[in-house]
Amino acid sequence: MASVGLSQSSYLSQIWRLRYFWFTLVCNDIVNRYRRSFMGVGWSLLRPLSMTFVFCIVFGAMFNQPTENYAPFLMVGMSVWQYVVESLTGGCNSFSNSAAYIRQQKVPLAIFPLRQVLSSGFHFLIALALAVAVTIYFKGVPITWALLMVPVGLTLLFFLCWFGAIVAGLMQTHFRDTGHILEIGLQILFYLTPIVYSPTLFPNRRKLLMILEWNPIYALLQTIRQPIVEGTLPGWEHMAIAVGFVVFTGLFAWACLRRLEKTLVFWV
Amino acid sequence: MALIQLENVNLSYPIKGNHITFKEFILRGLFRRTFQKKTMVHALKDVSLTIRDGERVGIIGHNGAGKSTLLRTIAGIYPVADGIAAIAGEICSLFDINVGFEMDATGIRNIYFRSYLYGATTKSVAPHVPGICEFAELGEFIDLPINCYSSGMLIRLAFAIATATNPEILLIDEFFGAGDLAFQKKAEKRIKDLIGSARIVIMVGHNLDYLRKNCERIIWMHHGSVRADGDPNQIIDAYIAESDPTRQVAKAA
Repeated sequence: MASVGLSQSSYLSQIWRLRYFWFTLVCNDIVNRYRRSFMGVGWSLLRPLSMTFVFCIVFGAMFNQPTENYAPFLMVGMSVWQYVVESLTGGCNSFSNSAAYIRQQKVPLAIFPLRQVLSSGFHFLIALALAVAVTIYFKGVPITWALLMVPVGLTLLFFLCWFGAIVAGLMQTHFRDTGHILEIGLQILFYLTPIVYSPTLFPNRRKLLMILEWNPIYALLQTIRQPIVEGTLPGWEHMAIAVGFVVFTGLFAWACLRRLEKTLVFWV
Repeated sequence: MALIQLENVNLSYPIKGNHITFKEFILRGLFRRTFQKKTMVHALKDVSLTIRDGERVGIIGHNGAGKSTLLRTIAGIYPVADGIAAIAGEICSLFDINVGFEMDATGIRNIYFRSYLYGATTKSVAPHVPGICEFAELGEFIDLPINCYSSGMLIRLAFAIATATNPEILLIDEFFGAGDLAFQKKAEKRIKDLIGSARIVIMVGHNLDYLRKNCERIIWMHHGSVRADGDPNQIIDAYIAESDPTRQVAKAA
């Protein structure tokens, strides 16, 4: 109990000790999000569906893509991207929204971003299931060995979102304009990441292609999208970039937490 | 065994609303201008005290004297900047009774939820639930959403939950005035029982009569330092003598 330096394992065991607490918070978030709307879970489905519909019409025509390929590609991409956006923007306020808990009890602070990432993760899984349904509708049941890659990709995505949410939340407590920066940054990143288009569309733009291929979000997206939509394993470079980026973000988030966790109570 | 040991503890924190924006941070960095110095509040000054098993301690002092800060430091919520804080024992803190309650859930659900915040699991809470219901004496209200409870009922529930698991160190921040007379008697007895099983209870409050009756030791905080520490009657009398009489009446009420 005394003020000893935190180690990762003891930190994780503290999080585990409070699992009932944050899990209840997550369940409440999910229930509250739907309870007062008569569409219920339908809202989770309507958003990606309508977005895909519009994008299919506009970008499908622009990039000259056949719908049966483009719709599954787009839906998986959009649902993953939406998850990242929701985790980061939600994670941004996760500490300030939990100020009352932070002032009441000594708890490992990473549970508050975790809460956000888990409750957003629930909606993401619904949206992803819908994307898989659309894929099956257009392309038949795509049972391949490559599908085994999907859970790995999802795990990586989950950790990336968690770590990202921690960093965003810590930054928000010290710089009040983090939300705006994040909004602009995510908007730019959306267009710099091959989500609604495929990099194969510009085979002659070497420099642009370099940026796109090294984009870690794209690499991570491909570990999920390629097995589902194309039934093939993602390239090893993509896997390596994705793993490397998640590890890097994790170390960065841990370093920030170690430095700022103790005094965070004064800033929320 | 529970033990609280503070040695020359100093604590300061930045004043709220002092945030700079990221834009300013970058601009200042670019133009090498010095940062505006953070305004710090020196909330605890060289506080040294030892509290052992079985002690019931009351903390008094005027508003802003550092009472709550001291309590939160002991709870491990505020980091000690300078000095040593060694705290042995499982802590249960009762600071803001509304925190950890979900207003639109029933009393029973809230027993679970609030215990989770203290690190319990469904299995570990379940045996305590009947005892908590009985102690809180809420009757049928226990199955109703707690947003229809009165503040006294909420306090009863919060207190019942906090003390049910027999924490080694119980920290209470002034809310003893509330709750009806019968409940106050029960709470007093519960705290005495806790002490019987060698526990530490620390209470912050302005209800001097209550503290005089229920504590064996009073710590008087003044501008962030310990002004006096010892016998309740002596210290409370000195405190009353020094404070403005009209203000004292208001406090005791």
